Amino acid sequence: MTAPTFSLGRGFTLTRTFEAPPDMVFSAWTAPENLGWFMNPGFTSDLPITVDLRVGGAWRLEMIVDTQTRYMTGGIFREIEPAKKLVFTWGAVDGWPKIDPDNLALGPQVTILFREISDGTQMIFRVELPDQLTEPQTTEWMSTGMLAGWTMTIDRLQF
Amino acid sequence: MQDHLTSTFAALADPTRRAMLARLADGPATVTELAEPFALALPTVSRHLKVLETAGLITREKSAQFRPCRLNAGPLEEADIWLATYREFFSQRFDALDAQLKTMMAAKAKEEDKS
Repeated sequence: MTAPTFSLGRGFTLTRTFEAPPDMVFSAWTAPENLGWFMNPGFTSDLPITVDLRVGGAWRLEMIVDTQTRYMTGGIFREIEPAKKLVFTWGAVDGWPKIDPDNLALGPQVTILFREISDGTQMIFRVELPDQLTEPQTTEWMSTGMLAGWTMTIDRLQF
Repeated sequence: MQDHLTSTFAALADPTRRAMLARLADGPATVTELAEPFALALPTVSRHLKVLETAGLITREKSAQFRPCRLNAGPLEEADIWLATYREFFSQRFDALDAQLKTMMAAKAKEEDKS
């Protein structure tokens, strides 16, 4: 397996603060009973949210967009530092973004830093595309859902 | 527009071309100047420039002797706007995360009151 590198800066960062301690924000990403916020509002999946919190383990949940459209998403953990840092390859082997378990370097990677601040937690969330993606792969990933946006992306994922 | 953006992202996918664009962000440059930082033959450099030109990311003066290249930032802005779709998705999720954490904090406070 090739280790992905991220020198090209193909990605974006979102920073948010929450009025909750870092260990609680971390648990909202890593405890199945606290991960419900990630799902689309208004729909409840019959499939359980699962989290295998170890490097190489996966977190998985079913995203339901509307009555016809649902897909698996989540991630495969690459770095775990409780209450401090979480790194995962974003996606699912049978979902979206699609993960090749033998080559995690081909998927978008998410890095989340949890920083303690006076009244809670600053969460720095970064999504990056690995340098190892070929031009067509990058183009494909970047083009997914273009114009029509996210919903369109998901429409194409029906299975 | 879709084809246009696809060519923009294809052009941006290559590290050499990204470095060339970064150089052009500082001002116009000739092909020789753009080739300097790379151990590349001039035809290779010209090929990269052609990709950038086709994607509309650079323009080249037709008349001037050394045909300097200039950055055309328009397609880059479009690409950035597109990336906003993904940003928007996560922003919405984090609104929900905020609500979830407020519920968890309230539950924790209640638990502490009891004990």
